[in-house]
Amino acid sequence: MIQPPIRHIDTDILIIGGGASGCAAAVEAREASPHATITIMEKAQIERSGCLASGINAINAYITENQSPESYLAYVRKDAHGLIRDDLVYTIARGINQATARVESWGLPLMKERGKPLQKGPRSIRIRGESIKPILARKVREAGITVLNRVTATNFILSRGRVVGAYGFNLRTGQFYAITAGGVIIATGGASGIYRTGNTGAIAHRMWYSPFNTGAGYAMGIRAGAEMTGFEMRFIPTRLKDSATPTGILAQTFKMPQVNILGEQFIKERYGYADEKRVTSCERLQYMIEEIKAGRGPITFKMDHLTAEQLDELKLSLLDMSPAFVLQWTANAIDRHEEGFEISTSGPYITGGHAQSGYWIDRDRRTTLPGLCAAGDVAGGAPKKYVSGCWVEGFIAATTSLADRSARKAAPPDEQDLLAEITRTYKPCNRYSDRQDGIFPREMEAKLQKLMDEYAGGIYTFYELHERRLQIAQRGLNELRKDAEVLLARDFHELNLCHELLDRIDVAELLTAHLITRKETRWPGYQTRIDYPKQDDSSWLCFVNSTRDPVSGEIQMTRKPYDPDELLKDLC
Amino acid sequence: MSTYYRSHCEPDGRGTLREVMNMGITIDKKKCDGCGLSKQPPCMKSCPGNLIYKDFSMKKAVIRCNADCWDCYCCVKVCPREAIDVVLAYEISNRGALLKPRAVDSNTIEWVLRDKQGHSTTYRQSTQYLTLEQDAADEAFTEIGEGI
Repeated sequence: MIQPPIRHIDTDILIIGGGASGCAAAVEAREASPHATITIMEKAQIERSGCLASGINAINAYITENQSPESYLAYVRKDAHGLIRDDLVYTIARGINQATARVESWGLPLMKERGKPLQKGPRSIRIRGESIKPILARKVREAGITVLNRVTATNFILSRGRVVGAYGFNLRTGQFYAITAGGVIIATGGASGIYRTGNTGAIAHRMWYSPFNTGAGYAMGIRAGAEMTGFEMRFIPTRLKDSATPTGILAQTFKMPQVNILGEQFIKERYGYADEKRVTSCERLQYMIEEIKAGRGPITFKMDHLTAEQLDELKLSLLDMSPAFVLQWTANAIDRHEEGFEISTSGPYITGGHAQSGYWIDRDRRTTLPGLCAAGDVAGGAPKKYVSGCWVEGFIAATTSLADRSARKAAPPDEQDLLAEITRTYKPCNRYSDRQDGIFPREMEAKLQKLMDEYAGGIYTFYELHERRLQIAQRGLNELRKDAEVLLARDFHELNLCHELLDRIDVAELLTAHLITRKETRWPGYQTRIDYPKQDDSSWLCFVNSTRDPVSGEIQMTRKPYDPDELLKDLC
Repeated sequence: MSTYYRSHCEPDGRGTLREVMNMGITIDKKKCDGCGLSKQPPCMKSCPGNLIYKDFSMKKAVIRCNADCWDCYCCVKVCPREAIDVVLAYEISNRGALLKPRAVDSNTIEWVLRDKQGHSTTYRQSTQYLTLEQDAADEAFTEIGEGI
């Protein structure tokens, strides 16, 4: 039996996840309340953790010269086929430029032209963002925030229905943490690795989203009975093939046309769009899938109009975000190929930063669990928030969390509860030292991803969904849940892999329930229902929400009516 | 510990192990000195996936599982001995090219990109290049995580 050293920490504000939102929340909380104790719990090391580990070359949500928060809201609503939380998107739109300027003042280099930010696309600007994480981290350090690196969260600490902290363990030393707090902000990001992606085996982690974002924050909320929304709007981006590098800069800044094998600009020529910009994000994916199904793949970006200087500038820009692609480009001499850059799909990913899966939150970023706020990719309802939107949400969540925090000093967690969580946490280690028979996380990961790929709308079925298939996935997930009792871990790194898997099973189960519930095709490509192929506004222009009963484990699905006027009341 | 992670290794005839199937990083055993007495060399601290650990008997940094690597270059950027390279899996990338970042000063990063023919191009980029900082949890780091 492992009897880990237990460390109890009490803090005013606990932030789980030190990415874009978490760092922003920490700095905001410090500036608003100089004497509060603030703690970040981070699975990696905040200087290079999460989605932004290798950097980013653009701020993809920004109000440029001819845009306004209102036009941004209209764009996001249209792109999400008429269904968003207008209040959340609007509060993001109002704050993104200020948030960007604030992070610029912390050291982020923005690219400028005649003193103004250099535009990348209609609603985005270019940056030299290789060190975006070290810059955020430095600000966090200067603010005197306690950072617990390599500590992964396993569950919330609950007291009479209120979130009063979180449990976790250090994935190197195995030390157990019980952190009690006046207010908690969850900012752990979204989930990858639910599905097998196009890349498997040795290149399975060649994916766009961080393979280390495994849905811990979603799963903790699901287990505690938080209300979730929009999981059925998955995110499946079109990305440079093999490396899964984002394509925005190629299409928008370098104006590379997207063509099929016949050289046709198929979105115009075959799908009747005079202006490609009118295509929504999920339709862009859908048309690409249709081209591939029709045998007109691969899809590529033509690059023969680019000069050597432009290609060098493109490389420089990609070095700030996806250096491995620059290496692959050179190794394969892609720019000498007539076809240009090949693109394919990556995912599905579950994220509230690009799509809208996540916690159901109010305008001030409160979740339905008292004491808990959510920000960034783990928060739902507001697609296309991107990095700058995550900062805004971090700032808002910090303000709310400070205002809502319970004044009294938190009592240490209930002993029964603590012991139960320790038993649950170290179970795979103890099983390995007891008898060694069971299943290793890598084996189970492969099974989960294969199951979801084949039956819950992965690349195996061109991401298409059918109720019968989804029921097979549910059956498989039930079996996996039983097998998860015999997971094995040989060290604390592997123990973390076990917990990542347990979390992903919870997310996959809720996701499948969402996918079954929405009986229409709202977002072709992301959520194509073979059995309900049409968009049905009369029944389904509404949010699909879910709550899992913490005791019975039963998932309750609800529909929330959509009323944009009500959502925007007193806002604009 | 952790030998079970390295399932796809075979001797390459030079007395070292070469990853033959996986993508990810290679750590040059001649250059890597484990950063001396450091309990947590910068590569180990910077890895977003907790994939690098220090083998104290060999005094070397070791990657647990190359198939889990995200090719993010975080460890390559911070290695003071320039001992780490990203080697993409052969199935997606021809061999022979190399991309090497180097911090010129705190505000400039330099990338040397070498193609198969050996031609090198240097890209200089303004940035805010910062070293990793120590924190309390790091200093308290002990080795009880190594093996159960």
